[in-house]
Amino acid sequence: MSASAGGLWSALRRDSGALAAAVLLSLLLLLILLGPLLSPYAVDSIDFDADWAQPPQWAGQHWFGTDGLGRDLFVRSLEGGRVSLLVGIAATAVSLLIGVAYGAIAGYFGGRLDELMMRAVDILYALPFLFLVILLMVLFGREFWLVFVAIGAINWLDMARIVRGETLALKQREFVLAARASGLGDFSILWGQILPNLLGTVAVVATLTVPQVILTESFLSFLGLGVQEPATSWGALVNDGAREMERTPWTLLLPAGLLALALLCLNRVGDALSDALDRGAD
Amino acid sequence: MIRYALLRLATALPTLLLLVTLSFFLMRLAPGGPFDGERSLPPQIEASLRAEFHLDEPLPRQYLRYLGGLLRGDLGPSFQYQGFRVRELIAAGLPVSLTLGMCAMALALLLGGAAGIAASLRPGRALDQGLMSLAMLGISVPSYVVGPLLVLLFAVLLRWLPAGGWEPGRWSDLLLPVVALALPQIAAIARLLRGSMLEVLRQPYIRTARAKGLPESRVVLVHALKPALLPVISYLGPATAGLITGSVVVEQVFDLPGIGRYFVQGALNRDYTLVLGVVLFYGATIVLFNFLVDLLYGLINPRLRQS
Amino acid sequence: MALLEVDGLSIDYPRGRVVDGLSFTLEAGACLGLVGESGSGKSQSALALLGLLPAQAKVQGALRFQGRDLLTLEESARRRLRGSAIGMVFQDPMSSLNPYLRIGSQLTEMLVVHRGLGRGSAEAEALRMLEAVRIGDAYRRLRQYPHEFSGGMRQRVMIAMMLLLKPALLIADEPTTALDVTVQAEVLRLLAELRREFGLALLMISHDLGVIAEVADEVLVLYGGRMMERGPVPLVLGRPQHPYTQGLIACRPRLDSPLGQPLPAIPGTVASAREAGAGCGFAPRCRLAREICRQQTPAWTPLGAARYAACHGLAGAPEFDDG
Repeated sequence: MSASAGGLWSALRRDSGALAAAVLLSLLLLLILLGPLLSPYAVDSIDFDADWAQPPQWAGQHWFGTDGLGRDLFVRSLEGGRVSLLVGIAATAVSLLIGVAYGAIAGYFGGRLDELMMRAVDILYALPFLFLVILLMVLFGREFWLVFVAIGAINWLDMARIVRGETLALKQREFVLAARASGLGDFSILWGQILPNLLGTVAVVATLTVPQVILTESFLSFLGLGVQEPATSWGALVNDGAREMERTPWTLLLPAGLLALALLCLNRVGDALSDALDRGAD
Repeated sequence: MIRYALLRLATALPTLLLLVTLSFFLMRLAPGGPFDGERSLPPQIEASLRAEFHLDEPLPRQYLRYLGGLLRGDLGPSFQYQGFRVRELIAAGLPVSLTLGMCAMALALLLGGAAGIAASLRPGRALDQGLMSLAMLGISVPSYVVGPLLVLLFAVLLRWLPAGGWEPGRWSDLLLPVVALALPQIAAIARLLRGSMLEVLRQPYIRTARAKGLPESRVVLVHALKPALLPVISYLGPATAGLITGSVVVEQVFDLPGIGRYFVQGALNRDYTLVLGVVLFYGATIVLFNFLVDLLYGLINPRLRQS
Repeated sequence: MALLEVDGLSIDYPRGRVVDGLSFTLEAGACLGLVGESGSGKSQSALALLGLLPAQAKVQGALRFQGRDLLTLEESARRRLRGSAIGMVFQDPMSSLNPYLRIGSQLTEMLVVHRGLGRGSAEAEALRMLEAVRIGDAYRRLRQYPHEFSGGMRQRVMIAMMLLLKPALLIADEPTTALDVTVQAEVLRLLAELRREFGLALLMISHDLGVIAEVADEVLVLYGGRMMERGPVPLVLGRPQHPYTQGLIACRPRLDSPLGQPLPAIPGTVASAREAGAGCGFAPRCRLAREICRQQTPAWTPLGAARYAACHGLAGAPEFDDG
């Protein structure tokens, strides 16, 4: 498994399905970032002129309709998306930092240290982290930053395992041996020779981590343990919508559809990239 | 095999101990936690907690007492459900959760297995592409989205099945929750098995099986399936964790009186001991399942069995 | 009627042709050696006989086995021939047996599937066959897995499995290549004995002329999917007519060659049939190639006494020997 960024990109371009998913994802991202600007409503503003729970009307003011409190669902869905994606990216960054550092150190130094570090990963793997996160939230209050850290702390294990494997292979390569022979220190080799060659793999694993994180966040928010009112996220919106789905099905269907679409596109792109990585795209 | 089993146990036990220790000290660290007495608790709970954890004793003593209680299966009293012990609440929810989980696991193995095999037989053809697109959808759409959608379609619009609730013995109550819970696992198993089948079908011993004139069904179901199942068996551990996680939301969506619902109610009401107890119970279940799965893996893989 | 008649067999893949106009006959109980480097199309031809080529391979020509044309036979009928009338032993005994099934069940399933035998009688036959291939302690061995056998033992198991149903033809594709030299000799001896014992016709595929010399009566030399030369083993190996055969014989490593001297090799790399259009496929590597060799495909020319060769250099060539 090794790949350059260019190789991954060309692999993506050859797979029309994955390319379509990437394009769709970019459009969704644009909509999430710019969409709320197009609408006069804010996330928590209640439109007293509109009916409560007004169905979607494409010609009217509320494109996605309103929720049971008369808040604009278009803006809320996109705001929810911002939060979900923000958590997804931020928590992935946390997991990336921990995972790459841990995996690279274990793989590079090898021996007993590696054995010990990987044994720890094995043990942590079996922990029901998601439930520990819930326990944390119950004990320390539903702090939003806790969600980032906790989710990031769960997801670094995969990253660490994969990075370790890559590093083990990389450190046998000529350029690393040459760097060592020329007297470079361990840290310089890790930073200058190993890390740049890990980028392709790390990018792919990160792409696959983002949808997992979004799933976790929306799971917590769905249960009412994540984002708190009046802020919202896709999971919280699905939860709200599910309660009222008999009277106002659109409050469930629209955010659920956006969430599913985002996860589908992310997974599809990540799948294509990791296939390319397995094939050893150059 | 015995050596192998002991080795696996050597991973399972530290995990459990870590889980228990972590949760005990998290509890101690919590602001307004039950041991600090800052939060206003009903007096009889307060008193029973003091007695339970011997809060005047030094920390290591408390920890050991706590471990001792766990070994006897005692998880302390519930804050919210007064007069109930956490163990009793878990026992009350267990039959529902267990039925739900077992049915979902069986369905996932059956449908996921069949779809994975079917897709692997003609890779790249229409059936494969169709099944794998569905599977991609399945791993992308979580249970808490599928669940409400199923309710909307089958209960609200078509009125074929109940929207939720639970009466012992009424199987129609189980249908939608089991499907909602199983779908992501069906998709995951189908993807996994397709991949490993493709790998195995390329092996020289499959060519041998064909050269022996065996019917294709026997080549696929006996010669290829057994080795191809190994990754699926390894996945049963994570699948169990996924089902437990999923059951928490599915019980919520369908209003089923299982452990997950107590758990969510406890979490929303900050019922510390209940949440802690359920986390430990879930954790122990997952660790136990991982261990059993490792043993099963060893039984199927002849190299491990004899070493 | 010959046991097996191959007439103008060609195999095409989307990327090109791998076997081009292969023809030969094999009598019951005889042994023909197919010789050539990797890429010569010998394994592809063998898989075509069994009908085990991948779906994208297009097979042309006629394959008559016991008078029936295999290529027009229905798949179910072909399947019933596999293993029961035509057996095949593969190169790598390490990966050709299923590592997850006991040897016993891999043997007995042949009898259960093809003959409908019960477990007990199938096991009794399997035991007898393991003893026939000289595997000791056969009863215990039936309950073991492939990884508990050595390479040579696994190849014996493979042979036993393919002989269980007493096929008329056994195809052995490089059966000893993956084995140690001493084990190679034992397995070859075993094959020769079994051939006599069971009246088996053997199609022996090898890149190693030494193996062919030991077991085959006749040899057919392939290069790049085409036939180069054919004839009785002593004649072809003793007096090769085709420059390619001569090259193969010259390149055999010999124990008496002086140390330190590099092994001789035919210059150039193996061409597959798809690169060769008109002209002799071997011409690019042939030290005697002339202009005509590159332009015209040489005809399959009888040289008397069951000998043939395809080479422009044969015309006017001396020594037609039936010696």
